[in-house]
Amino acid sequence: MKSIWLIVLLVITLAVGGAYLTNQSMQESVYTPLILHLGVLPDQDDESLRARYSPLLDYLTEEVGLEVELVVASDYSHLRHLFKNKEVDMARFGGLGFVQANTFYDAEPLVMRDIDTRFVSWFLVRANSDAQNIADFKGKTFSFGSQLSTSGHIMPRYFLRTNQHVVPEEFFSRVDYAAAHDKTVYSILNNEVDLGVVNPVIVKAMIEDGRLKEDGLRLLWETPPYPDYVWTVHSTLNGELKTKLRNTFLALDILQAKHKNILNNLGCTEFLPAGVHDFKLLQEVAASLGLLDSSAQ
Amino acid sequence: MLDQKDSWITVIRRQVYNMIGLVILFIFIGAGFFSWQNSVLSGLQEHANEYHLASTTHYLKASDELQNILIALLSGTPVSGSTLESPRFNNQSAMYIIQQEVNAAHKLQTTYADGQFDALLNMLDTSLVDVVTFMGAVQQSSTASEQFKNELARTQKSLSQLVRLHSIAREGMMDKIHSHKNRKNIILFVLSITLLVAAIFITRRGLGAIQAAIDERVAYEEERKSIEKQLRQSQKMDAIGQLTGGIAHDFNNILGIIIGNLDLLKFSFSAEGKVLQYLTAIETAADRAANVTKQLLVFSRQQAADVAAVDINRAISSMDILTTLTVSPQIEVSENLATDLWLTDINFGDLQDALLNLVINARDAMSAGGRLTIETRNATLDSAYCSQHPTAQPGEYVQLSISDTGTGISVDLQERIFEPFFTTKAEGKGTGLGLAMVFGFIERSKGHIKLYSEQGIGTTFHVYLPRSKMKEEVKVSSEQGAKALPTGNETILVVDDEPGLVAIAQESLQLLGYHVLTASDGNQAMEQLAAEPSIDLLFSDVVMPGGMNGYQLAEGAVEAMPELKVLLASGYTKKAISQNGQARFDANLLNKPYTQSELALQIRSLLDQS
Repeated sequence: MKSIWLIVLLVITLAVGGAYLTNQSMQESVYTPLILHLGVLPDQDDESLRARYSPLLDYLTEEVGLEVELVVASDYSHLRHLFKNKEVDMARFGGLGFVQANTFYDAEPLVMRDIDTRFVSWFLVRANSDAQNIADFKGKTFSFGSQLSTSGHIMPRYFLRTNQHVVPEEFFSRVDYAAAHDKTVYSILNNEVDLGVVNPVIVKAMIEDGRLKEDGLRLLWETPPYPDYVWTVHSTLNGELKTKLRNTFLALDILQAKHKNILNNLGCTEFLPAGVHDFKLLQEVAASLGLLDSSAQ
Repeated sequence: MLDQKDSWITVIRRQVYNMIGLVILFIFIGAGFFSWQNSVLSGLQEHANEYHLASTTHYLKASDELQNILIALLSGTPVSGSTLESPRFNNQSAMYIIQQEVNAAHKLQTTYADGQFDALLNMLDTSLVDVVTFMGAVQQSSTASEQFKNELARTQKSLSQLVRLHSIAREGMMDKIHSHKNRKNIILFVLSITLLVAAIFITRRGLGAIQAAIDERVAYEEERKSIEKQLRQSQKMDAIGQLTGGIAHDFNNILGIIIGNLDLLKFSFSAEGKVLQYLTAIETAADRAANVTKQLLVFSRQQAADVAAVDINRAISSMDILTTLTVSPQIEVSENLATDLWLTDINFGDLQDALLNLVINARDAMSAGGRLTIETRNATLDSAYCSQHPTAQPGEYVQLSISDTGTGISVDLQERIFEPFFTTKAEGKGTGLGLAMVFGFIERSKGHIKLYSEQGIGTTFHVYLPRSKMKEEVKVSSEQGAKALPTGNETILVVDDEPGLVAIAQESLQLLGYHVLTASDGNQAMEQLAAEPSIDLLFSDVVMPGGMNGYQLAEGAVEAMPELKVLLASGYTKKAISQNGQARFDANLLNKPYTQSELALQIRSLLDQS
C-alpha cells in the first residue's frame, strides 16, 4: 500500500508545485538604480546630441528625483550590449533594437514620441528622375540603409514585399546597404544607386542644416506608417519607478513653456504610452529575417 | 493456513475498492487543480475585460465627445447657447457625456486598484474641472479663449494616453492569460500522464494481487481435493476394517466351537485309522480358517496387544535368515540401518509379520530379479507434511523403508492395495491380506505408511512408527515345557451369548476340575454373581447383546466383589473397545479363537495371582 500513497503524494506535490510555479514564474528580483542611465543611439555628433538631450535630463532629474546620466552608444549593437549588461537602465531603441532586446533581455517598452507611433520610410530618387513608381526601377540599382535599421531596411523590405510585391534581390540589379541614412542620401545624389530608402527625420535634418538642398531629391513613395523608436526599460526595474518615469514622460505638455524646449529638441509634440503589441508586426518581420534567432544575440 | 488469511474474495474486493478509490481521488485532484486554475484565469480575464471596457468604451467615447467640442469650436459654432441656437451640437450635453464616461471608467479602476493610472487620472480630473470652469466663463463671453482651447487639448491628450495605456495593459493581461493557459496545459498534461502511469501501476498491482488470490484459491482447491481423497481413502479403510472385524468376530466364534469340539473329541476317545484322518483334515482346515481370521483381525484390530519398546534394527536382523529364505537368488538384498535408531512402541510379532509381508511383496514385484533395500532412520514429520497427509500426526518417528526395483504400482491400484482380499497376484499365490495386515499394524501402532511407486522403476514403502519414550526390554519368551494342562477346583462363571462356546468352555473347564457356572448375557451373570458369592473368576466374552458388554459386566462385578478375578475373551471389534475406557481389563484378554490349552494356562495364571 505504501507505494500507492507515495504516488498520490507525488501527484499532489506535482499539481500544487506546478501551479504555484505558474503563478510565481518570471518574478525575478526587482532592482532600483541609484543613478538612472539613459542610453541613446548616435544620431548626431556627441556634443550636439548631449545638448539636445540636456533639457530632458534636467526635467527627469527634477521630476523623478534621481540623478540621470546620458550614455551615448557607438552603434545599434553597442546599445544592445550596454542594455544587456545593465549599464543603461533606460534606452531609446530603434524598432528592431527593441524587438531584439525584448526577445533576448526581457526589455519592456515604456513610452514613445507621437511621431514614433506613425513612423514612415521614404523611397527617394534624384529630382531629375522621371520614374513614377517602384515598378519603374526593375533592373536598376537600389540601396537600403543599415542592415539593422528598422526604417532603413526592415520595414521598407517588408512593405516592398507586401505592397509592391518586390523581392529586392530579384527585382533590382544590385542591392546595397549604406552604413547610415545620410550615406544613402549621398549615394543617390552621387548616382551610385538609382533608388534609396531613408529615415525622413534624417532627411529633414539634412535639409535643415544645409547638407541637402530641398530640391536635390524627390520622394517617390512613402511607406504605410509603423511604430519605430521607443524608450525602453528593464522589466525588472522597480515598478513604481517605471510608472513614475512613464508618467513623467506623458506629462510633457507642448503648451507649457518649460516643456516646449524639451519636446522641440526631441522633435515631437507629446509622448504616448508604448506597448509590446505596437511592435508585433516588426517582431514577426524580424523573426522571418532570422534576426531574432539566438545567433543574432 | 489458508483459513487464517483473508479469503480471496476479500482480497479481490479490497483491490477493486483500492482502484476505484484511487481513481476517484485522482479525479478529485485533477478537478480541484482544474477549477483552481480556471478561477485564476477567469480573474485575469475579468481584469483584462475591465481594461478593455475602460479604454474602448469609456475613454474612447469621452475622447470622441471632446473631439466634437473641439471641432465645434474650430468651426466657429457658438459654444454657448441653447439647442435652438445650435441645433447641430450641444456642448453642455457633450461635457455631461464626457464626465459620465470618465466617472464610469474611474469606477472600473477601483476594482483593481493597481495604482499605475492614478497620476494620469488625477491629471485628467484636474483638466476636466478646468474645462468645466472655462466652459462657464465662455458662456458669458461667447468666445472661446486660447486657455480654454489649450485645456481642451490637454484633456484630449490625457484621454488618448489613457486609452492607449488601458489597451496596453489589456494586451499585457492577455499575454499573461495566454502564458497561464499554456502553463496550465503543460501541467495538466504532465499531471494526466502521471495519473495515467499511476493508474496503470495501481491497476497492474491490483490485477496482480487478484491473480495471486485466484492462483492461491486454485492451489487451495487442488490441495483440498487431494486431502479429501486421502481422507476418503482412510475412511474407506476404516469402514473395511470395521466390516472385516465384525465378520471375523462371528467367524471366530464359529471356529471356536469347531476347534473346541475337536479338542473335546480328542479328549473323549483316541481316534484311529480313517476317523483320525478325517479329524486331522478337519483340524488342519479349522487351523487354516483360524489363521485367515487371525490375519483379518490383525488388519482390523485397533489396539495392539503386547506392546513393547522395540529396536527395529534388531527385528530386521532377527529376520535375516527368513528374508534370505524368502527372497530368490536373483534378488540382491541390501540393508542400510541407522545406528542410534530410536525405539518404537509396537508389537514385535506384528512388526515381523509386516516386514515379511513387505519383503514378500517386493520379491513378487521383482520376478526377473532386482535389488531390495531395507533402510531405517530417525525421522521427524512436521506439520507441513501432516497437512498434506491427514492420517499422519506430527512428531518423531522411526522410519522403515522397503524399496524394490520391480514393476511398480499404478496410480489406480495405489488406492486399493491396502484393502483386504485385494490382490494382483495370480490365483492361489496370495491371499490379499498381506498389505491389509501391514496397514492394520501401522494403524494400531499409531504410525503412518507412505507409498512411492513408479511403474517400471520400483516401489518404496515408508513405514513411520512413533518414537518410544521407554527403554527396550528384551522379553525372554517363556518356553511352555509342561505338556500337562494346569488344573484347579475354583468356581468359574462363564458368560457368552453363543451357547456353543459356553458349552465348550464349560466342558473343558470341568474336565480340568473347575466348578463351572454359566450365563448367556451380562444381566444373568450379575444375578449369578449375586447368588453365588463363592465365584472366584469371571470368564466373559466382550461383545454381547443385552445392553451390557464384557467390560461393563467386569466393572460391575469387580465393584460388587473386589476379590473376583476377570478374564475376557474377544475377537477384536473396534466399537466395543472404543466405547469404553476400562483399559485395566485389557491385559486379561484372551484372543478368540482360543485353544483349550491357552484357556487353561490363562485361567490358572490369573487365579494364582494374589
